[in-house]
Amino acid sequence: MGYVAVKGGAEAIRESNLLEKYQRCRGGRSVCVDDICGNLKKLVDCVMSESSLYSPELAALAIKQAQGDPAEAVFILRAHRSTLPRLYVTTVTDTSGMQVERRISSSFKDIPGGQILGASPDFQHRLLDYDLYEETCGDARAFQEQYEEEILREIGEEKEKQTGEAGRLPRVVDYLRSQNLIPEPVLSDEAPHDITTEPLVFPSTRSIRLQILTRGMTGAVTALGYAKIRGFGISHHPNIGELRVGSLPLRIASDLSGTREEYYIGEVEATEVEIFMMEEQQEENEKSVLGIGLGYGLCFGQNEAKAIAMSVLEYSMEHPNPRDPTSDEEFVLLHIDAVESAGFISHLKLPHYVTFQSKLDRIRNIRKENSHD
Amino acid sequence: MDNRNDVYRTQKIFRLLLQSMAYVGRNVRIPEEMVSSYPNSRISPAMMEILKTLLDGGMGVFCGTGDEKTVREIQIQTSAHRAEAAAADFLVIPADVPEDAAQWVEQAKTGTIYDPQRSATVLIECRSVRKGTAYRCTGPGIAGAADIAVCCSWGWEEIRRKKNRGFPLGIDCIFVDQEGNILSLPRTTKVEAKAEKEAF
Repeated sequence: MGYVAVKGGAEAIRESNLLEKYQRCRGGRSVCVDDICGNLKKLVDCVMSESSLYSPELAALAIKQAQGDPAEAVFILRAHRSTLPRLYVTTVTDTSGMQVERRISSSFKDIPGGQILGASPDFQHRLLDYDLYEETCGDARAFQEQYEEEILREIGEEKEKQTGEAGRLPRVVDYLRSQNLIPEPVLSDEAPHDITTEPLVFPSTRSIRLQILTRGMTGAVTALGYAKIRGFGISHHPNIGELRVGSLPLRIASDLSGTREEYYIGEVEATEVEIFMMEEQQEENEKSVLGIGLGYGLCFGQNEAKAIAMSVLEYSMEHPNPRDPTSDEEFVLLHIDAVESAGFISHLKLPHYVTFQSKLDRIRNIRKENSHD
Repeated sequence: MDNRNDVYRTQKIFRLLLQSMAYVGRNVRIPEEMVSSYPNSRISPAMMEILKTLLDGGMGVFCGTGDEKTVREIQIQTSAHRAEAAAADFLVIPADVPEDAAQWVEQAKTGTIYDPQRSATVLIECRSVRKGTAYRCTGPGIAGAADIAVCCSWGWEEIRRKKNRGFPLGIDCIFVDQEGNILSLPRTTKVEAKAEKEAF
């Protein structure tokens, strides 16, 4: 695609930028980054996930700068991410080491370790809470202090009584593996591709698909995941084997000290989903039996709909069905990316004067030629 | 802006490198106050500042000094991993090994047709990038021709010419002298030796 550089309009652009800032400030109020971090956590999580940069503070700043437009905030944060040096790569993180804050299974009522509802909007009426109109910082602080005093302290005391493995729970999928209903995974030590430094080519690999899915737009991933379930491919309903929200410890390894040692550098909050799909499986004697296939979703922050939809799409591309658009990795992977799709759609606003003039000329010429016939 | 801060300092050095790449032959120098001292390293401090600017943990670096201390210092300063000459993203060719320099640069990767950017950048230490053998440069970004002089005698120009025969494949070179002067030769620049009498 060819572009023609357009010059001029600097003064108008300067004025437009000022007006954009005025639009944010004209109420005479400014929301601080800490307020966005605290009050708009789900949006912050969503922007961090789509930007593939784990920094609640910078995500909140981008949200403020973008006046709450998630696509614009992701664009800003991805641009910032591209300027950062890559100092280390973390070692492999075993997600069974997650410090679980919330964990549910819709496949079994009683799971080892129990279901933990944690924080979720799932159990609330979707009615506007008019009391929030009147809520002040003092009200928020009073609730915070009361909750920490009465509930968190009790939970902390309970945890202290438990062993060092507190918060680490056995996986539901391990139970099904022990029953031979889900095959043992084939371990791979192949280094994952890095989608941020290598161009996307098809056919892709699983590591590429997982990376693009995890930073896909929440709405797009959810919509395509639903399309897959609704009937474009599988005709049955998947089951959430396990959905977990919690903190994952991250470590880096360095051999500069002479011995290769791992160092703990912090933790990230993540949502992880393992989804069960009924499927035909081949046994060693080549007989096919009905079994359970696994789809996997993982994303930064608490972003449950996206992680579930990601697991559905991951399964769909891992077990392609030619009739199924969501098995077409080009269709899914190129269109769910925020910068790729929002960027292309937005570029339509840029001047296309020359290309459009050329189209007009062609139409006029053809019409003229036709009128002579 | 504080020159002692690595982030601001490497940003400024990056601008200088960019100027040097974009305007071949223009005098570009890393000022003394932007250069720290690296007692454990045998490469010049200006070269170390350039490495800190360009390298990070995703890059492979080959250093021809052969001494472990310098390589470790580069790793500590940049987080880059060490690589063989044929696999390195950056090759550091010190001034004191003219006998081996040619064979290392001959091995430098030139990228592929699909990914010409996966080629090496060769960082060459030399006695001077202001005085020495005179060359005339032509190519993109140069109005007419630009005259340069380099004091570096291991036959770099012939190896560079061979490596850059199949554009867009090729290598990019950055020469650095003891005074912190920089001369960049992107792969698009054609370099020809000037006649003897024209030498500086």
